[in-house]
Amino acid sequence: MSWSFLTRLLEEIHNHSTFVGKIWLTVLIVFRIVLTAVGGESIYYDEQSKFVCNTEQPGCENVCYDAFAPLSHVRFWVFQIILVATPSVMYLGYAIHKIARMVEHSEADRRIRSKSFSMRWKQHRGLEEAEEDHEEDPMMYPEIELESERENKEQQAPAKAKHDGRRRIREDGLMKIYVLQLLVRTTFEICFLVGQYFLYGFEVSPIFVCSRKPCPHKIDCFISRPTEKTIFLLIMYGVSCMCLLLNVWEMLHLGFGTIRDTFNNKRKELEDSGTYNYPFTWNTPSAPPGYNIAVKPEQMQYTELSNAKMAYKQNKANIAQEQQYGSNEENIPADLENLQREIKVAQERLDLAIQAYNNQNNPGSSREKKSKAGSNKSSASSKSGDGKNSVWI
Amino acid sequence: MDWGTLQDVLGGVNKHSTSIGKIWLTVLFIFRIMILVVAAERVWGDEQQDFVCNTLQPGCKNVCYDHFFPISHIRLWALQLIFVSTPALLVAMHVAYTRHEKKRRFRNGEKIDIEELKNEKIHIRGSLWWTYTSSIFFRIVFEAVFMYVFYYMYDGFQMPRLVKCNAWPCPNTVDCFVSRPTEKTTFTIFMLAVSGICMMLNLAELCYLVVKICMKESRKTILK
Repeated sequence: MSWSFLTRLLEEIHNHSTFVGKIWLTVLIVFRIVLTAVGGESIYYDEQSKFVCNTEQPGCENVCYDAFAPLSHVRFWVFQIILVATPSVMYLGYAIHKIARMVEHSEADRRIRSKSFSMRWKQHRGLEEAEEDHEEDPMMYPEIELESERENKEQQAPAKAKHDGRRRIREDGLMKIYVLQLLVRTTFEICFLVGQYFLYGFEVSPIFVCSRKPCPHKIDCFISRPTEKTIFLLIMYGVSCMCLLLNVWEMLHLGFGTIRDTFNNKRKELEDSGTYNYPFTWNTPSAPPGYNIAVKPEQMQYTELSNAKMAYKQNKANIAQEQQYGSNEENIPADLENLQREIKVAQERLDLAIQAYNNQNNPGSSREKKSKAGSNKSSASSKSGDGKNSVWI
Repeated sequence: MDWGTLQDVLGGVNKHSTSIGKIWLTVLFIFRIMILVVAAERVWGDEQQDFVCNTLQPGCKNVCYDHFFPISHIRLWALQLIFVSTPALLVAMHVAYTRHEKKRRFRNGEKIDIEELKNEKIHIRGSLWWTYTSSIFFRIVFEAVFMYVFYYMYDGFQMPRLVKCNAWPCPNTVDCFVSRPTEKTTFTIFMLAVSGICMMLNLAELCYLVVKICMKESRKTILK
C-alpha cells in the first residue's frame, strides 16, 4: 500500500493546479517520494545493526545509537513529504466540494431561469411599447430553449472537466484558498529545511563520541556508510530548496498574472465604453406606430448618417420614457441603468459629431431620398416650400 | 500487512459521509495508515533483535522482552485502526441494503426517482441517520478505549531507555536496553496526537448531525 495512496491523490491534484503547481507536484513525486522510498531503503536498512561501538558493555551501543539519531533521516523525510503534501490535499477536497455545489446550484438556477426569463423579457418590453408587439416575442422563446439545451450538455460533464490553470481557478472562486494553501506549504518547507539543518547539519560524520550511561567514560562509535548518507542528505537539501523556489515562483506567477489580467480588463473596459452593449439587441431600430418623432426644423438629407441620427433620437426618447417609469420598476437591474446612462452620454457625443458633419456638408450637397427597407412609414418626404416637416416613422 | 483491502472498502463509504466524515477518512489514511506502513514498521522492525540485556544467562533476554512488551505498539495500532474503521463498514452495508431495496421496488413497478438512484447519492436521514450516528459513537468509544490501553500497558506514552528486569531465569536484577527509544517516543506521541484529532473530528460530526436533526424536527413542528 505504501506510497501509492498519496501518489494517486497527488495525481488528482494535477487537475486543480496552475502550471507551476504541476511542476512542483512532479518534483515532489519523482524526486522526493521515489528517492526516499528507494534510496532510503537501501542505504538505511542496516543503520543500527552496523552501528558499532568500541566497548563490550552491553547496552552501550543501544544508548549511543539513540543519542546519535533521535529521529532517523528517512523518517524525517517521510514526515516532511506528508506534511508538505497535506495543504494540497486539503485544497483538493475543498475544491471538489465547492465545484460540486456550484454545479448543483447552476442546475437549479437554470431550471428556474428558463421559466421566468420569458416573463421578465415581456415586462421590460412592455415599458417601451404602447402596444404589445407580439411579432418579436416568439423569436425569443426558441432561443432560450436552445441555450438551455446547450447548458444541459455542458453540465453533464462537470466532473470530468479540468479545473486547472490560474484563470480557471480564479473563475471558480478558489483563488484565495489556493493562495492560502500555497503559503502554508511554503511555511512548512522552510520549517523543515531549518529543522533539518539543526538536527543533522550538512554532513554525517563517520565517528560519534558517546558518554551516556551505562557506557563507561567516552566511547567511539562508528556509523555505517557515512559518505553515502552525506551525499543523500545533500541531495535532499537540494530538492527541498528546489521545491521552495518553485513555491516562490508560483506565488510570483500568480501575482504578476493577476496584475496583468487586471490591466487587460481595465483596457478592455475603456475600449468598450464607446460601443453599445444593449442587452436586447435590435438589429433595426424600430418603433411601433404611435411614436411621434420630434419636429425637424430644416430639410433632411436622407443619407445613412441621418437615418442613424433619427434612430438615435428615437432611442433617446425611448430612454427618457423608460426613465420616467424607471423609478417604479424594480425589475431593471442596476447595471442596466448604468448602461443607459452610458448610452445617453455616447448618443450626445454622436449628436455633436453629426451636427458638425451636417454643418460641413449642408451648404453644398444635394438632397437624396432613401427609403428604409422594412418600415413603410419612414417616408422621406420633402415637401418643397415647407419649412417644417413632421416625419412619421 | 495488506491495508489495500481496507482502503478499498472505506473508499466506498466516502461517498455517503458528511464533509467532516470525509476529512476524517483522509486523516485516517494519510496520517495513520500510511505513517504506520511506511515509517513506523521500520522503526519497530528490529525491536527484539536489538533489545540487549546485560547478562549472559540464556533465555533471560526473551523473558524480559516479553515481560515489558506484551503487545508491540505496531500491533496495537493496527488493531486500533481496524476497530475504528469497522463501524464505517456498517454504514456501507446499510447503504447497500437501501439501494438493493430501491432496485427491487423499481423492478416491481413502483415509481422511483431514477436520477437519485443513478447518482447514488443517498441522504443521511431516517434509519440511515441512526446507523451513521451510532457508528460515529462507537468510533469515539474505540479510540478512547485504545488510548487508555496504551497508557495503561506502557505506563505513559514515553518509551524508556533502560528497563530493569528480574523475571525468572534472570539472576537478581538485570539492566536491559530498548532499541531506538527516542524515535519510538516520537512516533507514539505523533500517533496519539492524530488519534486525538480524529476523536475531535468524530465529536464535531456527531454534534453536527444531532443539531441538524433537531433543527429539522423543530422546523417540522413549526410548520405543523
